[in-house]
Amino acid sequence: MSEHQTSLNFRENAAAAVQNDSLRAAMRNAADTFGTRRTAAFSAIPDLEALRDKASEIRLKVLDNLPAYLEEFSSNATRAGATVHRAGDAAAAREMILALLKERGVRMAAKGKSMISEEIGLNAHLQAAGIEVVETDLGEYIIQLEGETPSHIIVPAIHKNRQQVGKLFAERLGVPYSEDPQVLTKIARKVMREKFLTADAGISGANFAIAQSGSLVLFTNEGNGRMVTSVPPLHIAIISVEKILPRLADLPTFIRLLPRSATGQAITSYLSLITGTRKEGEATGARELHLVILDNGRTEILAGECREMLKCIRCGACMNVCPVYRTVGGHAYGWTYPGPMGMVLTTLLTGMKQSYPLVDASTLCGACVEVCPVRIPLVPLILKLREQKVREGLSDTKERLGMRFFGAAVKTPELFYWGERVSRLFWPLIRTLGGKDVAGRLPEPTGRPFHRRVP
Amino acid sequence: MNREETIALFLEKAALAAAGARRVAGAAEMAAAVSELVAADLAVYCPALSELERAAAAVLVRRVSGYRDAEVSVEEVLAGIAETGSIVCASVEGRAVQASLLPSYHLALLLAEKIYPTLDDFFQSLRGALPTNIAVITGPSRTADIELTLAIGVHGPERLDVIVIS
Amino acid sequence: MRVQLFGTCMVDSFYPEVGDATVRLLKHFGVEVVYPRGQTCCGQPAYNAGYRAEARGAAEHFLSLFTGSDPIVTPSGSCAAMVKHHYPELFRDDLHLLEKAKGVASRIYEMSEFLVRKLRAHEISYTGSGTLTYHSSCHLTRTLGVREEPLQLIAALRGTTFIPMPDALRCCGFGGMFMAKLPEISCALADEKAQSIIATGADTVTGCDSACLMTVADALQRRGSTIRVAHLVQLLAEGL
Repeated sequence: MSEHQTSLNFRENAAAAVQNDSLRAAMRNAADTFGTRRTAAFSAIPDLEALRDKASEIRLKVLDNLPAYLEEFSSNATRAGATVHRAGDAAAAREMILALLKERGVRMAAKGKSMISEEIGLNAHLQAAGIEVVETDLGEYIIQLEGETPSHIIVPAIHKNRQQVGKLFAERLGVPYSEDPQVLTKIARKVMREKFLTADAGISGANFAIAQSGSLVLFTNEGNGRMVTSVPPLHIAIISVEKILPRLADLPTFIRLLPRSATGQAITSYLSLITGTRKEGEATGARELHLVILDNGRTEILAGECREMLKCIRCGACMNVCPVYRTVGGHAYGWTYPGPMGMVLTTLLTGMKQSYPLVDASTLCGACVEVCPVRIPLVPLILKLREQKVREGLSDTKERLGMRFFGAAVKTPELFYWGERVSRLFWPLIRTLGGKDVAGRLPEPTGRPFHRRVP
Repeated sequence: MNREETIALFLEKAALAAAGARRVAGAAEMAAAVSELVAADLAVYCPALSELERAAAAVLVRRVSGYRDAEVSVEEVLAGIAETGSIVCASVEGRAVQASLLPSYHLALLLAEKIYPTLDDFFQSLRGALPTNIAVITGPSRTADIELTLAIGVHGPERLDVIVIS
Repeated sequence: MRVQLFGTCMVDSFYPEVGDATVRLLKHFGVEVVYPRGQTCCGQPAYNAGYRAEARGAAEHFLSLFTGSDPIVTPSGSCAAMVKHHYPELFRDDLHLLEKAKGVASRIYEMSEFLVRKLRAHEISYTGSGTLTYHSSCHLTRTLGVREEPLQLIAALRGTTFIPMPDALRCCGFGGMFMAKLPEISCALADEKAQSIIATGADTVTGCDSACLMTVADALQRRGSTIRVAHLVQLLAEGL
């Protein structure tokens, strides 16, 4: 189910990333920039805590009534001219979309950024069937040219510096080398314009889906999202079930939180509200709109103890402040979603057996909890997943045995203090066995522990 | 917030989003502003559906019938939102929302009384069956995909100017 | 006033001088210090790694030693956070122990928190010298919300010049079992922290959590730095 997941190699991936200087520099730049911008953006919001409470409340209301809202959304979308499809899993979604494109003889599809499409491995599936898929978001376009996957859910090419992008464009597009982002952006504008105007179909995601009106909501900056969803005659949108918001009146809360949390903008350049297909008398809108609503394990998650993860609105704020993500970048996590939300969501969606190293990828520092606009309890969720990992017997044997001893020792002072004495006695051996990067970082245990000196 | 404050906030926020924002009194002043902003040699699309648009069209030198071939799009927009400095375009009255997307320069004409103070005011005003496409537009198109460095003008317009007529 | 002192396992084995300084400071303010015998560990290494049963065992042992109603003081932000925020949750299904857990949770204080809020210890002067920077431990700041108190105590060190550290709030990379499971990332984070400290030009770095200070000390040593690493209670006790 999980497309090309390499999360089991997290430690190796991370170790390699730690040594990658250009990656580290790019991630440092990103984290510092995001931090500054987010702080500045939220300084304009008088009561941020109340806003986060409201957002969390709305998202919980959706989760508590999801089937009803989905029904309301589907029926309103259908009434407005859309065709709604429900896809149980990634394979079903891929097949559905491929069938729609093939039936209409689509040769080239222009694509807006969609993390769900990454989750289901859509591009590879369509390309294998002979359909050209052009990523139109600049960041996605860059990584498509490079043959990579996104390393951040908002800024997919954040791991690349301008020199790397300049070189890529020069090599793959045959343009003179430039590392000026303004110049590179204009090159992309020129290349993409032709694609938008000649694409047989547009494929997009959506940030939210409004149950009350059956509308898709897209927050975009570049304009490609608008192009892809309104210029080609056929628009296919793929969203996951939990993207629903109940009412149009709920949008302002998220408009105030999402762009600020994601990029530090007060609002994105474009907010598109797409409701069905082109109606009588209109000159804008796709003639055909197919909405694929994907489950892919979410109903199951909703019934479990980690359901609050589904409140996520994909802002990326958590990864922007995560010390681990900052150090290793997004690819190390081995799947679609990186950072704190990625650790949890990946494990929930693809299963503990495919993901368990990810649950250790946190120091539990809590920086993510501080910034999540919808108050997802990420640290408690990570702890729950760690408990699950231990229950399922996926912990390292040495660790399990060590914990067993620890568990006995903490209840039995004599055993605990004996352990202290033995550690000190065998310290040189422990140091050697434990390695310089683990045991080597601890000081030598004292000959007179505090419990023996305190009066 | 009274009308004056709403207009002032709109102008301030629009400017912060890198949109040129100015205020004029009446159609004549508006036409003068259009004439000043739009270079005579540029191919301009103007639907000329509303009174304001017709007043603007009168001063445009090189008009083209399709927005796809236009370098500039001059049109009256549906509404504004002061809180964010945004303009709103929608697929109503047979309007092509792509006119605010494809040409490189979008010049929006906005009646002051159509500016909503807050996002809530705007979204609560949406009643009944919605038009297919509503675009809330704030500034020109942009990206920060390369090293988080801001680049203005990506796939959508590279320049947005708003003339508020009161 | 009488308090119960929770030494912590890190202090017991690796930094007993922090325990000594804690006692000395409390006594200076006329506080009677009771040290319940047989202390082991608050259980967070097990809790944070997902070993709930082992964590619960540690917590039960803690509850058996720390009885009564005196305040409990500990020179560790992460241990105070464990007791305060996680002990009640560990016993959510045991009415009797839950009451006890809530009891200790309500009366445990991290040392700087206790010094400032209960003893007004920041209102006297301590002899200090040189230049000092401060690392804000994650559990101390984000879980316990103790942000100002350490800075107020640092300000009371007369003769010490305080230099704030860039990114003081970024995690040092210890993270309990994290440092053993993902040492590559842990060392990278610790090194970044060391660089922040060195960049301040301070001759000493302080903090309120021995695990963080240990991590930082190792990282500084790897960079060949001779910056002194000392727990805040040590600096205060030295300055009495």
